[in-house]
Amino acid sequence: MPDFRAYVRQNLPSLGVDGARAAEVVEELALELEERYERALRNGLAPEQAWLEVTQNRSWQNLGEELRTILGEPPHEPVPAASALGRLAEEFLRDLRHAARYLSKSPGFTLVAVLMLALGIGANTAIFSLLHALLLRNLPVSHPEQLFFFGKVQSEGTTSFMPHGSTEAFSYPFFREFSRRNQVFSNVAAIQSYLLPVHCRVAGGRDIEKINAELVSGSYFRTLGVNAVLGRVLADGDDEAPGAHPIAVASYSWWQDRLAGNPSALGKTVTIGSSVYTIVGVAPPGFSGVTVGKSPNLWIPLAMQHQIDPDENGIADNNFRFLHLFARLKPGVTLKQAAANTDLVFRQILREYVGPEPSPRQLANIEHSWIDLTPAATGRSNWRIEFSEPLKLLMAMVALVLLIACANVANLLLARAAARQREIAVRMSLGAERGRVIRQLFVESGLLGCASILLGVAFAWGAARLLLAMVSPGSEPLVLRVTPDATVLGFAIAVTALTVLFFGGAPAWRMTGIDLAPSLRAGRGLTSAITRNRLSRVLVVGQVALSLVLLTGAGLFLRSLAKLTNVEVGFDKHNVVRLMIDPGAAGHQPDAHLSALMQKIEERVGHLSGIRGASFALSVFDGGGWSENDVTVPGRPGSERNPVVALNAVGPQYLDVMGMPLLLGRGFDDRDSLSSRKVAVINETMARTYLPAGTPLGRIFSVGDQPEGQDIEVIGVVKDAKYMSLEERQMPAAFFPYAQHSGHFVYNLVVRYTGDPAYVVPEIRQGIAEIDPNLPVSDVRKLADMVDDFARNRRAIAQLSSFFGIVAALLACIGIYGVVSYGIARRTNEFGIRMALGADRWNVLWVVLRETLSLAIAGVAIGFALALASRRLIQSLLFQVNPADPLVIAAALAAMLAAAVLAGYLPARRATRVDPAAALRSE
Amino acid sequence: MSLQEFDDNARKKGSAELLVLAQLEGRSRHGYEIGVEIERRSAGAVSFQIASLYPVLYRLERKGLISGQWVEAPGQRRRRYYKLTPAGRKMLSAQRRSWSAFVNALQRAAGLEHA
Repeated sequence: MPDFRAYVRQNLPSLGVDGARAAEVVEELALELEERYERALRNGLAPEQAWLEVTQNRSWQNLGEELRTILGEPPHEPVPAASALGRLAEEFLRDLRHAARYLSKSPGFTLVAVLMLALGIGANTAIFSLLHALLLRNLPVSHPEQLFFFGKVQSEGTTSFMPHGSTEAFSYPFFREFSRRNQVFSNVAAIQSYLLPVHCRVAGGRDIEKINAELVSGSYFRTLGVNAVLGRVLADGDDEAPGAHPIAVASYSWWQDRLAGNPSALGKTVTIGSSVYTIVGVAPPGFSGVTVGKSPNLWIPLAMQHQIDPDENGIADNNFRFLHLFARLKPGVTLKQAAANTDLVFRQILREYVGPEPSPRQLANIEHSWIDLTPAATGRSNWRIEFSEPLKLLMAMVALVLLIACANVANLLLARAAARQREIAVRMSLGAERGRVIRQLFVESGLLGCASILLGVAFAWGAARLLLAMVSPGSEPLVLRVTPDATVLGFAIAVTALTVLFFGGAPAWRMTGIDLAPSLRAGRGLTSAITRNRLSRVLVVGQVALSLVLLTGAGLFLRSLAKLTNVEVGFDKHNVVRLMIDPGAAGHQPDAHLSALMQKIEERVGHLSGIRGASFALSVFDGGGWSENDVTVPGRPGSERNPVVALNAVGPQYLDVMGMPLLLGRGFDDRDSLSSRKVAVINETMARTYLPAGTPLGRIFSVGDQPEGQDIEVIGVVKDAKYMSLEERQMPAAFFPYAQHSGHFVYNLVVRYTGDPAYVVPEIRQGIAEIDPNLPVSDVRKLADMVDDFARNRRAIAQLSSFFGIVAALLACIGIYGVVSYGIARRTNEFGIRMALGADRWNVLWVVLRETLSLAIAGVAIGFALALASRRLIQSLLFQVNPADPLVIAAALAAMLAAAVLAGYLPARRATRVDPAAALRSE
Repeated sequence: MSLQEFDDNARKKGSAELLVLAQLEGRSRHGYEIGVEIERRSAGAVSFQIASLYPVLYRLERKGLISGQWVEAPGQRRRRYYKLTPAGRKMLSAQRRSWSAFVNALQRAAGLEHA
């Protein structure tokens, strides 16, 4: 058969259209001639005659001119808009079918790509859903943007110190007075600064249950704009006379769980201590107050404060500051106006509290006190301080992991691009526009993205719960709704879209920007292989760099965790169990009678078999009281810079039970009673700081200005220990016998045991019940677990960062493996020639490994610089570890390089097995 | 009258377009097939050469009345198949109406029945 293409090309004048279109016309005309030629042969003509028949009398010049006119005209688009849309949909469906077919042809690639992307998208979505739930989500109240807290509401607790600086805790009388004088807010509400765990009996039942009650002002629900789904919410009238309105509003979830969602719950009672509260309403579903991460079961009017918490009677005390306030801005009032008015009224009221003759210090304090109005739309949470930094850091980590995964998928697509070069070149030479081909490629990437997001969101659903369990302390679970909502799904979709753009975009651009002629001729894109490889290498170097950053971070966090878990705590955390009692719930008052009862319990429990000792304590390594520079020693000038002293009220056996060695003097015993001289055991740091000269034994100090805190004699010195957290700087500490300070409830009982705690704890409960069957016992925890809880956060970060670091390194290795494998496949004949010319296997291995090494070294060099540059970001999350710790960085470098070399070695070994003869033949 | 080659005037009048459109009614065909089909249906009276068929095809495509697509089948040559677009279908029936009106008028006016 004669070459009719060449014939047409020779004869047809230039058509003035692009090369692809011209090639198409040539091909079609040549086909026509071929058909005619074949018909002539079939009709019995000899080839020469057939050729003449087909080629005679052709007016190529006229045809060329005519075609040039036609093809030069703008394309006619008479199609109406509706069917244009239909055609677009049709094309899209065609693309989709094509993509699905294409992806299903290589299930291995599809599976790996989807898994990598799903892991990245899922991890990002999981961390974001936590971040969203804790930091970003608005409260389910009306117009949350109009609500403002007074102060930053970051601390819980009570204080009676004069306000100085930014103020966030307020007294109940202040709240009432401020509400009366306020002009800039439409509503002002007060809540107790902390959630109160209380023991109660529900609906007259016998069992004592532990629930969370939140004391709130009568204006609370009105200010939030929240109404009851059943019954009514609290109103102003419920919060006027102290102790007069024992009523409660139940949370929706508690109503569902505890009262079976029964409408007859209205009118049911809850007995707390000696008061009986009537349930008057149920809050709407989804509303769990303004404290993110904690969920109250009951809301009770603030006027019931003394009944709920009998050892505090602060409702009438101007200076007993235990409330957080929030308010709704009046329409038309700016935040600036509101802040000015708030500060004005605040200072006016404080002036009235200090009396007619204030001291200059009081006046100065008032002058330097203010209220920061803080947006309350997202509620308050002291978890935020603890979790926002780690969560942001994790977010950054998983974003890097996703980036690495994207680079890998992009690389896989690029490798496949080589195989598709001819397909795409043909399509484009047939006139498919570049945009059209790019769209097709994006539909493929989009399909991968869709599969990944489905899997990723399912993965995130489980992972968010797992994360929550990992960071939530055992004693106080973090109550957060982390099921993906619209925002979280929106985030996932946005992340996926970006991902698709990234991993699909570069290859699509690269693949369609090809030089058609050589691609068609050679059958594979040799020219673009070089550029493809350059892009792949850049991606791999980036992956190695980011992986090194993540590995370094993981190493630092692991080292930090190791330091933290090896901290000398100063007591023996093993074989000690802590139980909490609630004397108020059993109807006790904080008095000498209760002290006597507690002593009986200590003796009873202490003599059980398997028990070495038992003691009550105000605090056991989880907070407790502390002084604010108000410890005074006769003859020692007071100073603002005096270190804060940790204070604790304990039983006689406390130091023994905790295993805190006494260094000097004696511990507490029966001699130290309410009527005897007030005594204390202090720690080394307290002795050194406050009583430096001579022996501290027999020396005197005072705490605060209450009578029970005056003239306390030091009878012993105990070894230093940690009192509140593992990370605290060494604090001075003083221990007092609780028998001499009976004005407060003491909740903790610590017991040192031998043997199995599962067996011992029921014995202890039994022993307590024998002394007082009504005393609720709860929160049984091993001291070792309580200590470990402080490292929980850091452990979670260390585990997660290690996990993501390893995943990242693994992905980078897959990337290296892919690039090296591809390079070897392309250079098979080069290796064949080298070996034919006498290169041995080691030479070939070295050629390949050298390339791998150069990629890895470039990657770790960039990664090293990045790690150093980002070290400040993680400094605050490290404990006693230098963020540029040379050991950690060296280990990460070595691990990354070793992994990279291994990833390159596996395919390199293949190169050494090339049969020179076969390789040369294949060319 | 035997029309070995369809002349320019007729083509310009649009009868060539009508002929091509009519071959694509109901199924798609490639260029050579269209020419063969016209020749077969007209019992050899009308035949198109390359220089007359392809300009018509490209013009019709340009106008959006037909659309061409390359089809590759195993063991066969790659061919460009043309099919009617919705607009082409409308145009075909409109041209059929006006041509039969014109032919009727021609017969009556020129007394063609008796020729």
